[in-house]
This record gives sequence, structure tokens and C-alpha cells, in this order.
Amino acid sequence: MSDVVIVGASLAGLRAVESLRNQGFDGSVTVVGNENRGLYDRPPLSKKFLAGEWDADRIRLRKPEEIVALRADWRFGTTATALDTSRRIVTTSAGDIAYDACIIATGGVVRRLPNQPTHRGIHVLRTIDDAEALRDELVADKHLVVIGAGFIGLEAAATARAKGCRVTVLEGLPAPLVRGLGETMGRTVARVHHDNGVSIRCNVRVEEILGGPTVTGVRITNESGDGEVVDADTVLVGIGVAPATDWLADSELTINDGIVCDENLQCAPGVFAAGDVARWPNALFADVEPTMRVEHWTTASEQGAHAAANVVAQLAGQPLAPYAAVPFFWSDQFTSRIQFLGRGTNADDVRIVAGNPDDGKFAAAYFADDRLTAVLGVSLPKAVMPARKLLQDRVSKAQALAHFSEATT
Amino acid sequence: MTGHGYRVEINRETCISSGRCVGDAPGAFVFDENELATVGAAVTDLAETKLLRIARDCPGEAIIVYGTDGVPLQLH
Repeated sequence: MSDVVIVGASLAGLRAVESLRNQGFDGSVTVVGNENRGLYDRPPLSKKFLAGEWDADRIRLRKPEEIVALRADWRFGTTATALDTSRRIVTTSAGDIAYDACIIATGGVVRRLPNQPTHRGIHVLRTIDDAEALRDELVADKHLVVIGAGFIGLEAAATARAKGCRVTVLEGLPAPLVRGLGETMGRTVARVHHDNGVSIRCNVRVEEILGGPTVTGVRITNESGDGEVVDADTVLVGIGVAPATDWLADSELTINDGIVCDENLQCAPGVFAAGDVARWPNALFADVEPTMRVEHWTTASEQGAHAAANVVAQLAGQPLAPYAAVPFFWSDQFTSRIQFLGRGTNADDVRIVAGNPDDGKFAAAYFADDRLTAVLGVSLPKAVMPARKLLQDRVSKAQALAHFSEATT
Repeated sequence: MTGHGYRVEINRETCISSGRCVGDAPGAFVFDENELATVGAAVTDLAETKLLRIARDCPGEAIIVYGTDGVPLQLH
């Protein structure tokens, strides 16, 4: 009988356990997770949970009886501190655990500003505890300042605005959502925030969060290069996450903005990675991005299951399967339902291919090196999803444009 | 013992193809040629608990479960 250890008790870890059992794996499964709130779903933390519409029970990832049926040893509140790949041991805050195969799904650690103070009213948003603390401060007419106009920051901004808060978003780059959508589409998608009274200020530099013991404001260098203080009752620092790999510093694994894996998500003999921590060569995008790391919900889900399938294969002496997929994420902001398929970061051309941004419903195609690399949709799901096949087939720009012109006529 | 006796439908206008249902219960839910989720034959074999949880968790709120009286269950 084999022992599998899964490090990380969130979505990717859960899907790994389910995949092991679905494939008939009958050995022991131990899951180590550093949080102590059980298995919960993160997307609602910036949306309905933050709004107070859903409670902790509503965002539980599985029913208690489903968890029991998985026959796993769940060790919540336990932190993995080291990995010895030659002796096959995971060291944790509660002792060593030996493994025959290990899946690392430790996710991300929320980024903070350099010298970020600890005044009351300064928040980050990654865990359910974070969301509860922020939720309690979203009171009508209070001023929330969000540092960072990424997806989490803008979702939280929309939620706070709907609760009646005044909301200002501060962004260092020239447009919101640049990292995910690029400058033009980032600006276009964020229009819905302006329409709903959220102030998004780009090209500003955050110098210091002011206050003590309670936050009072944020000192910035503003759009014109002048010093300015933006008053705040609450500050949310939403500048992304870093892959949770510090605990692997002394291991034999290669760390380079994530755990470097092969195409099968394997990073050492018998060790696989899944979700936010995994950097791997995605064969569908190798020409535009040799390796990638993806922080999307669906990627964590799929990679957790895929890594577990490879564990089962390896234990049975069978060949491993590569993980190649079109990354996908969605985001809800006010009335906009945003969907994104593929990778937009290296695009050299972006075109509207359906609908009209002025109506709040459109789709845009992203091209790099004359081929389709991504499709963005806002409140137009039926136009977007058929493009998954185009992305899987790595179609040329001409083929993609022909498809979209046919689809819209 | 599996099965639930409910009729299940997917609203193709609101499905965002998140893949939650398809990933969680392959065969019960499948992607069609347009990459939208659709109900598969195995849906009748799903345990009631699991079906209702999957329907409730659909981010597009696109999975409709009809009670025996033909009225959609209130899941959201």
C-alpha cells in the first residue's frame, strides 16, 4: 500500500484527493493545510461572502459526508516546513510524514507593501479570515482605498461600492487589470467601475500608508507627479500573491517564480505540483510563453486532479500524461460578467470581434505572432466559449478572424 | 444507492463554462461542441447531495434542478 501526502488543503489539494479515490487509489492519503477553517472556496471571498450575502457554511467546498467518503487524514492548522526528496519526507509543524508520492498545492501567499504598517483598518484579502475582517469594515459612506487595480482589488471595490462605501482604487500602472488583460482592454473592462462611482486612479505611486493606531490615509505621488494624501477609513492592499514556496528553499526542487515542473507537473521523482505554485511548460502556448504559472480557479482544480492521476499512473508503472490546457478565468464586477480564455500577456494585437464595449457586452481576440492566444468576453458567454477549441487548435489570426466574422453574421 | 429523481437543465444563456460541474461530475455534465455545459446521461446516477451542491455552486447559477412538482428548487 502506498502513502500519498498532499501539501495544501484548498481547491487543488481537494481535487487531488478526489482524483486519487476516483481512480481507485486505496492507500493512505494525508492532507496538510496551514489554515484551520476547513475546505472553502476562495472566489466568493471578494464577492458574495465579502458582501455578507453568503456565510462560511455557504462557501464550504464539499458537504461533510463527501469529505468522510474520501477517507483522507486532514491535518488543518499544520504548516509544511521542509521537503526531503531523497528520503521522501515532508516535515511539518506537527512532525515528519513519509510519502511514496507527494503533491504540492500550497497556493499563494498574499503580497504586502514593503514596510507595510500594521495599523487597524489595513487589510489584505486571501483567506476567509481576511475576508471576514474586511467585510466588517465595509459600512456605508466609509472610504475604502484599494491599492492595486487587479481582479481581486476591483472585485472587492465593486462589492464595497454596492454596500454604499466610497471607493478609490490606486494603481501604479497606466491602466487597471493590465497584467491579466493588457492596457486597452483593462481600461475598457474597468469602465463599469467609473459608471458605478468607483474612482480608479492610475499612474500613481503609493509612498506610505498613514495613521496609527488606526489607518487615516495613503500618501501618494499623484498622476501629475505631486505629493498628495488620500484619506481612508479602510485600506485594502491588493497587489497579488507570490507562490508559497519559501518552505522549499532548502529542498532539491527548482524554484523560479513557482516550482519548476515538467510537462507532466512532476518536479522531482514522485513529487508533483498543482495550482498557483506550479510553473510548467504548457504545450498549447509553448511558442509564446515557454513556461507559465496560472493563478486561476479552474487551473488549480484541473491540475490537482491531473497531478493525482499521474501519481496513480506512476505508482502503477504506467506512463505519465502531460497537462496542456487553455487557462480560463471569470470575474464578476457590478453587472459585468468577465470571462477570459488563454494568455493575453504577450499579445501584439487586440481586436473587438463581437458586440460593442459601449453596450457593456463584447468579445475581444488577442493575437501574438500572427496567431490567436486569448479571447476576452464581457457579458457575452456564448461568443467566448467556442473559442476554446480555436485556442486548443492554435489557429492563425486569419482563421480566428474568419471564425468570429462568421459567428457574428 | 444513488439517484435523485430530479430533472436537471442548464441555462445556456448564463452558463459561463467554468467547468465546475464538468470537472466534479464528468459524464453527468459534459461540454458540448460550443464548450457550454450540458447534462449528460450519468446525471441520473448522481447522489442527491452532490447534485444539489454542484447546482448551488455553479458560478453562472445556470444549473436548474426541478422538483417532482416541476418547480425549480431554490438553490441560490
